[in-house]
Amino acid sequence: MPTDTALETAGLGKRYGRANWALRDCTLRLPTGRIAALVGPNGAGKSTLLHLAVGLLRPEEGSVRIFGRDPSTDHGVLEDIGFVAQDTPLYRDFTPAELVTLGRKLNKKWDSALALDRLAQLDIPSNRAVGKLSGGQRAQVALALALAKRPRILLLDEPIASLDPLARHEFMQTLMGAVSETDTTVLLSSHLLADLERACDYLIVLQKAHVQLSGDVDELLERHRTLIGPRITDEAAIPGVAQFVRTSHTDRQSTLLVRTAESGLPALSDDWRSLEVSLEDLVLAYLAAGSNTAARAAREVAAR
Amino acid sequence: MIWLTWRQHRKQFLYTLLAIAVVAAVMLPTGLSMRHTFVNSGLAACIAKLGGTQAVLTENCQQLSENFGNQYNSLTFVGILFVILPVFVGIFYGAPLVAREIEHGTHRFVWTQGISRTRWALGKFGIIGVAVAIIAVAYALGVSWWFEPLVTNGGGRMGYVSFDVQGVVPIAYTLFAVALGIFIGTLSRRVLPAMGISLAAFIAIRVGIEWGARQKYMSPELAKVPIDSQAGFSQFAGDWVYGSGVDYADGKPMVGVNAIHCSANGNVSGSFTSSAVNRGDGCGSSALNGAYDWQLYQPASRFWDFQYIESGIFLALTAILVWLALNRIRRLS
Repeated sequence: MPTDTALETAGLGKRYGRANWALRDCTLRLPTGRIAALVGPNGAGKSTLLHLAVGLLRPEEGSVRIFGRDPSTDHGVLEDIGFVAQDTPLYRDFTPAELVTLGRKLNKKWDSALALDRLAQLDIPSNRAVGKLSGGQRAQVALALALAKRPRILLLDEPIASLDPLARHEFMQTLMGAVSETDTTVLLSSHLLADLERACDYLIVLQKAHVQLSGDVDELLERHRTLIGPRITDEAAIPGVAQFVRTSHTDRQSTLLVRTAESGLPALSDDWRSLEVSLEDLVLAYLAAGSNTAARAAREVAAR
Repeated sequence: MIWLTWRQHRKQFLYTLLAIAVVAAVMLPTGLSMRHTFVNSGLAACIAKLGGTQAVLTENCQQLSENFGNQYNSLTFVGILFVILPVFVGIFYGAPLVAREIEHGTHRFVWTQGISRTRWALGKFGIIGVAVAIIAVAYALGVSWWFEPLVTNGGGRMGYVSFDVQGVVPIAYTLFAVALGIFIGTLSRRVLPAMGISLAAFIAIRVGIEWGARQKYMSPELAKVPIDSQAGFSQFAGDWVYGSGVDYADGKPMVGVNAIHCSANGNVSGSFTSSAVNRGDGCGSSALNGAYDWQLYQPASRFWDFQYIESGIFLALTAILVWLALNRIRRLS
């Protein structure tokens, strides 16, 4: 495994109950130093993936590695992970200062001053019970605690889902400011891409327990095009396309969101236009494609 | 871990100390007055003179004992309270230990710090276990002291309620209750159901072992006293009596008779329904010749044997529950 890999999964699967797969056939690789968005609708398996990565869950199938170590058996890797769970659970009767003490007692590698400085900068009272702070402040406390571990990878599970727009903005700003000074890898999940779009340079799209798309944002944008041209009936008529992600047709016109082949698209005839795609379009197209596939598969099963 | 455990449980510890103080405030004066009366009335000396012998003339102490009993026997109901105290301590410390973390989601915070959750669990179990054990030792010593006159005066400390609140078994019960609460909490993942189920399970297991197993720890002894010996079985011997009766010389039971002996004047005295003995059977009659009182019992001297056996059972169960809880914790997320 190359040393520039922060998180790597291979055929990873987690099942609840007998047949309820929360995550399956998940194979992906997150290079170090990236800020990755983990996007997908609710219930797609985002939390499951993060819990597997931090060792809270053990997989039924496949493997997950953080810097080459298995988090479910090798607890030493916890030192390298800063994790903020969904809804930022903290002991509500503890003050932020006490939580910092807790961190110091439970971590070998811990930077109390860093955490306290951050809280002071954000004007968060360090002597008031966490349960009495606002949601935004609580999220900031959780982030400060995660950063105080000086982690090599930061895993954040829907850190801003329950925050108001201003608090979201502030949270993302703090996060970006903190990791820009280091080479910390960040993986944060959200069911809304818009929250993460500006911040991230790596994207993982999960849907219905499967990875729909993953890769470097720039590469993904480069490799996808929207093609608009005369109505086609045969998709094979377009060369240089590796995958038709989304196709829609009117009587006279076809609109195709395609993934191009590695060689790139050859020159198209004049009646075709090739447009760049936005990240949001791309994600929506893959999610729509995923749900079509799933719906089709369900129909096929039902028809048998 | 010590700091964290103290920080998380300091309120509980404080309330426990408060509760102990309240109980002590009741126990200390009643205990002192009971011991005072016990000694000053001469009952203590009277019973001491019998020296735990089984078959003796007990008339001397009978009246003193009744007087003492009239004054203080109503306090034995407090013993019932003492029986249930360990389970409450266990449930309030044990059930929330893991269940509250999961209910609030904080396990995802604390289990992703720099130490493994197994270490977290062992640290917590250990510290809470030691703290609870200290509380239980104080409780056991206090109750043993308080109960001494009452159990010496009647029944002995092998009897059902009094055995359960003295010696070392309360410590084992308390630790068992804590472990039970922890384990059920890892299953239910919610504090209130964990408390309720732990309470029910604790009662079921305690009652099951008390009535199902305790009598069989050691085989009982059989004692016989001829009815013309003028002595009966002493209630002050402190034995745990399984059963008693009167048999004819040939071993056939005398129906309706519990304990009799021949008085100096030749009459039959003791506890019997009149029809059973008064068939013209005087004390010297051939029918009663060689008849004897018997009792099946565990000698008072086996008190500590029984304490250790029962404690051993509950400590073994505690160890199993801790092991199961650790296994469960590895699977929670």
